[in-house]
Formats: sequence, C-alpha cells, structure tokens
Amino acid sequence: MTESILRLTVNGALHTVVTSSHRTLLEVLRKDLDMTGTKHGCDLGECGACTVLVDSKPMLSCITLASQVEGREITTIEGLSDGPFPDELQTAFSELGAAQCGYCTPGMILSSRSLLDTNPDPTTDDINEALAGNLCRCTGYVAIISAVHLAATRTLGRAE
Amino acid sequence: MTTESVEAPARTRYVGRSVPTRDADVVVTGELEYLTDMTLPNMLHGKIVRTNVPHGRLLELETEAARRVPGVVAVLTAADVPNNILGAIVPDQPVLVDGLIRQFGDAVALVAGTTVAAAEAGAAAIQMKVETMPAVSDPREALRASAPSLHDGGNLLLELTHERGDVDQALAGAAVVVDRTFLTQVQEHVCLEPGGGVGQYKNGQFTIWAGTQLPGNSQSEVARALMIDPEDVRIISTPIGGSFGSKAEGPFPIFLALLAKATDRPVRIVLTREEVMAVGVKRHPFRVHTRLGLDRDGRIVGLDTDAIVDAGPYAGFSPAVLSIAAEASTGPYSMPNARFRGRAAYTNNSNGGAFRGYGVPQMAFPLESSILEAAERLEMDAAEIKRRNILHPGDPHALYGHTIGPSFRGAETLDAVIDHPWWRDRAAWKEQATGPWERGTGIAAALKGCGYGSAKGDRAGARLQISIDGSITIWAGPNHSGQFIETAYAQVAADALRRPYDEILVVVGDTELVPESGSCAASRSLYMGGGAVLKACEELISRIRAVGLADPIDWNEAGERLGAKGLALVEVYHDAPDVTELGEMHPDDVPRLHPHRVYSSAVHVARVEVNRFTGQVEVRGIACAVDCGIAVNPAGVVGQTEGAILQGIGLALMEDFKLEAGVPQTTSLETYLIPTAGDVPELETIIVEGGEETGPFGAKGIAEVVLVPTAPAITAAIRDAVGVVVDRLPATPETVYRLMEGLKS
Repeated sequence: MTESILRLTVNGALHTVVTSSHRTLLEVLRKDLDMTGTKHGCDLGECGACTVLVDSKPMLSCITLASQVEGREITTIEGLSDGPFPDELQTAFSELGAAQCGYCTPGMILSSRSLLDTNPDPTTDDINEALAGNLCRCTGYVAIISAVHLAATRTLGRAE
Repeated sequence: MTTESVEAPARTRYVGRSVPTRDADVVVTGELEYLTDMTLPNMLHGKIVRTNVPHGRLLELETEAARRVPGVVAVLTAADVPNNILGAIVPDQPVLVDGLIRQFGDAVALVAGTTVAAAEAGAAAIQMKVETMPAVSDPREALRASAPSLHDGGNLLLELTHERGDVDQALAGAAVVVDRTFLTQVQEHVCLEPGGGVGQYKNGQFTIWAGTQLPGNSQSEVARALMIDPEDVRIISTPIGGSFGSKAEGPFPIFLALLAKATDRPVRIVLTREEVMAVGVKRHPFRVHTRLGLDRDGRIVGLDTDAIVDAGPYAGFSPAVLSIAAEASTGPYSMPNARFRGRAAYTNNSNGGAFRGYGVPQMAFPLESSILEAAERLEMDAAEIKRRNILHPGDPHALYGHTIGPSFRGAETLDAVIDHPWWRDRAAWKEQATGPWERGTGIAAALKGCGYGSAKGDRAGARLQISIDGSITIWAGPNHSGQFIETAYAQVAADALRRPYDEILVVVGDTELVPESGSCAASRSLYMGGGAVLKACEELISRIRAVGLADPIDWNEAGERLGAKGLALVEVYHDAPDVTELGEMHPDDVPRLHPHRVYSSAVHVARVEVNRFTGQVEVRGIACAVDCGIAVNPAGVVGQTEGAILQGIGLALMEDFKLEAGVPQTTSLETYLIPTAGDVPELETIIVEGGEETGPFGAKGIAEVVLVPTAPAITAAIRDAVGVVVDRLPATPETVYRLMEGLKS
C-alpha cells in the first residue's frame, strides 16, 4: 500500500503524517495524532460519535479519508475550548448533566457547535434536526437539547 | 395494612442536591480516557475469529497460514485455554469453541498482531471446517423431546413454578377473565462504545482493563479459565461508554488475559459494531400466556402466567432473569391467588442476558395490557382498577406472600400520575385529534426489587482512608458507566462526615483497590454501594470519637491520631437486608425465589398520536412518577428516568433485533433503529419520596424500574387512540396497521 505525506490542520496546528491513503480521519486522529477525544462507535457512519468539524461543518471522521481533508480546518473536541476557557456548550453540557457515560458527548458538542455557528438562536426542532445523526443511549436527549438552548442563550446574552 | 410514615431524612447539605457529575469537566473536553482509548507501550492488537453458522460442529481449525501472516504474533485456539469453561451461574459455555457451535459468532480463535491490520489478516487466514446443523430457533420447539439438544441434559435450562392460593378456582369464579398471549422482542443495548479493553501480564500478575459491570466475577472467571489464583488478576472496569447490562458477562476479559500471557505483551481488542450486534447479549424475548381474573368491583382475584423465555445458546444470567420476572409477574398489585410458570429454553438465537429491567418489562407488558382489557370489559377506569389493587407496605406479595417493605410507595406513585393533567385531561386530548392522527392516553405501573434479593448474599464493600493531613479517599462500587455514581457516593460521604463535598475523593471499579462490591446492576449501585460508603463513614466517625476528638472535628488532628494508631484505613461490608417477615412464604422457598424486601415503583402516563392510515405512532408526552426513597441527586434521578424512557420508547415502537434461523439480520445501526433526538416527546419526572431505612439517607435504586412502564403505557395509549390490542412488541407502523385492519374485518 502506498504511503503518502499528509498535512492536516487540526485545531489550528499543522500536523504532518506519513500514512497510507486508505486510512480514515478517525484512525489518523486517534492513532497517529493520539487525539482520542474523537470516539469510535461504529466505523459505519451510523452513530455520530466520531463527529468532527471540517471547515466548521460536522463530518463523520470514520467514513472520511484523512486525505480528503488535507488543507482544511479540522476541529476536534480537544480544540474547542479557548485555552483554559471552555466553550459555552461544554459548560452547559457539564452543568445540566447532558453527559452520562459521555461517549457520545464530543460528537454531540461538535454537531451543536456547528449548529450555533450558523443558527445562534435555534428552536428545539432545529436542534433535533442538527443532532439527528448523533445517537445517545444514556440521557434520553432531553438534557442535551436543554444544554444547547442554554449555551445559545448565554452566547446571545453576551453579544447583546 | 400499615401506612406508617417515614421520617424525612436529617438535614443534609449535599444529599438531595443536583450536584453535577464529577467527571463532567473531563468528559466535555474529550480528556476522559475510556478503556478502549488506552494505549500501552509495545502493545499488540487482538482480533476474535468467529463462526458464521449458528449451529454446527467445528471439525477442523487450520491456523498455520495465519501464523505465517507478517505481523501476527500469536494464534490461540481452545487447546490453548487451560480450563475452557465460562458462565457465572451455569458453566455451560466454552471460552473458545472446541466442538459444538451454538451461536452465530461464537469465538473459535484469537489472533494477536503488531497492528490491527495484521491481526485482521491473520484472522482472515484461519480456515474452519464446519459441519452445519439445523438451527434450533423456536424456544417452544426447543423444549420438545424431538429437538436437537444444545447441552447435555436437554434444552430446558430452568423451569420455575410457584402458586399462592388457588388460581384455577379463582378464575372459575371471576366476573371477567382476560386470556391472551403476548410476545416481546429481542432488544440490543446499543452502548455507544462498542466495548473492548487491554490486557497485560507482568511479573505473574494480570491487569485487565475491560468494561465489566461485575469486576469481581470477571476476576474469578479469568482465574478459573487460566487456572490461576484470583489474587493474580486485577480488573479495572471503568470508565466505559454505556453498559445497561451488556457488560455484565462474557469471555472478553479472558480473551485479553490469554493473549497477554501468550505474547508477554499488552494486547488491546476493540470490538466492532457488527460483533457487538451479532454476539453481544440481548434482552430476552418472552412469550407470555396470561389469564387475569377480576371480580365485579374491579378487584383482581387471580392471575395465571406462563412464560417461555428464549435464553439463547448459553445460560448466562437467564436463570436470574427468570426468577426476577417471576417475582414481577404480579406487578405492583395485591391479589389472593397467583401462579407463575416460567421455562427458559436453550436455542441457537441471540444470547439472552442482563438488560435494564432484567425480565420485568417483559412481565409488565402482558399484565398491564390485561388489566386495561379487563377494565374495558367491566366498563371501569383502568387507573381506578390499579388503585383498588395497588400494593401497600405490609401487604403480602401477591405471588410469594412475603411482606412488602415499609418504604414502598406504589399508591402515592400511582396517585401522582392519576393527578397529572395528562391523565386527568385525557378525554380532551382525544377529542382534539386532527387529520389522520388519532389521539390516546395510557397509564401503566411497575415495581422492581432493589438489589439481588434474599438469600443471594448481596453485599457491597467500601474502603476509606484518612491521610495524616485529614483528606479522605473512598474506594467503593463496581464501575462507572454514566450513572452519577462517584458523585452520589461523594454526596453521601460529605454529609455523613459533614465535610465539603470537594474534599472527598472517590475511586470506583478496580478489584485491587475496591473491596468486592458485587455488580453495577439490579438497581443496587447507589442503594448497596452507597450503603457501604455510609457505613465506612460511620465507622470512621466512631474511631475519631474513640481517639478522643469531639465536634467540631479537627480533621488534621483526626488524620494524625488515627494514622499513629494504625486506624486510618477503614474497610466495611454492607449486607442487603433479606426478607424477615415471610408471611405466607415457606422458608424453604426463599433460596429458590429470592424475594426482595425493598421495592421501588414507577408509574407512567403516555399520550400518543396514531396515524389511522399508516399505523405510525408518535409519542407526544410521557410523565413518570418514581418511588425512589430519597433522591440523593435529583438531576441524576431525572437523567436516569429520561434515558430509560427513551429506551422504553425504543422497546415499545421500533427496536427489533431480528434473526432468521439463528442468523442475525439486523447487523448494524442502519437496520436496528433506536430513538434519536427527534423522537423525544415532552417528558416529566415526578419524584415521589419516601425513605428506605436500609438505603443511604433513605435512597433506593430506580434506574431499572423507570423503564418498565414505558411500553405498556404507550400500547395502552395506542388502544385508547385506535382501539387495537397490541399483543406484541414493537408496535411498528406495520403491526399497528395490521391490527387496525383486523378490527375492520
């Protein structure tokens, strides 16, 4: 299998990875870059646990080849906080018990981040639609939906 | 009948507050390292080689080619397992198949390689010669004498029977008898983390990082299979990405130990979603024949339940599931006559195991549905019938006759839902239906025991250390998979010691550090583990008093004095109370039936819309009242309830793990559907407090009981909306449509 040099911009930093061309972004993030915040749930693009942002849009890293996203801005859960200051979504998820086992949480938060970036004041239906591809088996989603609303409200409150 | 009031707990600072979960900050940043995220230096990767037939004989296993694959370090087969047996209750399962194949996906070999790809290539190079045999796929046929036996002694794993009173006579004299057979499906847990872990063998000691809800049992099963001392096995079982019962059993920790020993290197195995779907344990499907008799006043006079349980290929926890189902067959109701007959049958289908509720949802669906039908025939309100028959503390249990403990709040829990606007306003809800969407409302109730039950030796340990600077560390509890457990333990300890919550460190899920705590199951993690934590704290306080310190305690001084006297480490065991008031129960039956002293209850009201043209059901609202003793962490109670309700909606309407002649058909999340954010109705949790004297600060376990009423409440609402009796789960659009068509003809 041919190996090639990939240049990936992850959380603002440029990483050079020597890897075979068939490897997924999920594998490269978790194994080559040792960033295990992005979770492996199914490898089939069905559960959403591996969601990352590529140019601010959610993508399933388990069915995305690393080579497809060369030169684009990749954001993982590790890169969401601003230094020591967590993203509003991270704070809200933590406060409202929106994470139980927590395995879906990184993907949930990134899908929610993308939503709030384009729709700062979403309705519950907007949230449900944005999170439709992210499965959670613990929470029943209620606390997650509330956390997205809370983060949106706080962000809007600050902007005013 | 006693209705003694239980005193409210002493004023608490932390117990009763919705303290955020302790690990929340590292979960939301992705920093929390799950067991499948772990990497150790020099680590190998393992792959499990599985069969692709549900029933057959393994004639030959050719491994030479696999051993020659570049990067393959070890290939292990049954011959490499020192003692090839497995099974917590009945040791009827091989670790690796050595002859008979009993399940699609049975493990036959293990491969370790330097990379995942090498291990996969090695696994693919293994050749199997298998004599295929016809699958035993219907549990009723499995029980016939003509069926091929899957185990020595035949396919009847367990038959459990019990009768109180005279059911036949009672039914003969009843005003109405509802006689119906109900079917429930196979449900898959769908933990978001597929499962896996790392094994290491070093200096004669095994360390196994594997998500297991019974670390102590995993420890002894590894020791048994490898013929080593359990003391040489350390299981670290936390943190894991969901469990719900799925991680309570199985050969996985043994696989890791075998590979680590054979290669002398750490080995990680991460299961694929397809593997988990195919071979992971599932909720048992039940076929339940119910005959329920009531008198003209709506009092239940007798109940006859005959259940056939598909246990799948191996016993696992099926015997325990059957006994918990038997106890729950009479629900939260009082009645003078009841009979249960349950048979668990071996088949080549999915392996039945623990799943939140443990046989109780499969009992509540037939019983609640039958009560509804009886109510209609008596032209009475279903809720009123429940109220007339609800158990009260001090009543005899309907099937066994032992006394229901004083903390049971079934009546108050039922009333909380009867008083809920969604139940009160059900006529208006129905009338306001529009377009093709008919509307309905349903109510359902349930009870479930806390802990393992009497004569099971239910015990949880806790260890507590005070350092010379006065800081406190507590080791307790089997594992953490999302249920606020370290948080709740710290709340209990902070109030017991009257210290700030943040000063209490809690460690769970490590057999080296935590004294044997039993399982994270049976609604017992808080009830039992929290009880052990409380006892450890009380012991510490009494030692502090004994060294001459009075209130307010100077914790530095306490740490120094206890340290100097060698009293700084406390280790205690908390035993669950067995039933003491046997009532009509014969003492000899206690070890066979394992009745509980402590029960929780839950009641749901569900409002739905049903499309009269397509049969599609939309759940619009579920309110759940839960009898939890004291809510140590109300947000935790609500979180458990909401999560359980969504799993219950899946059970009611969509989840259906299908097999054909033992071969799984729903092999991924593309075909096995679970609720998403878009399926969330309006939810409400009503906490009904009481106070259980044997639980920490009065707490009982609730994480299972809150799932139980969901499906029967929804099917009752469907009946209210479109008039059909849903007698099988799930109530998919196709099922509901066919039932509606049946009404027309």
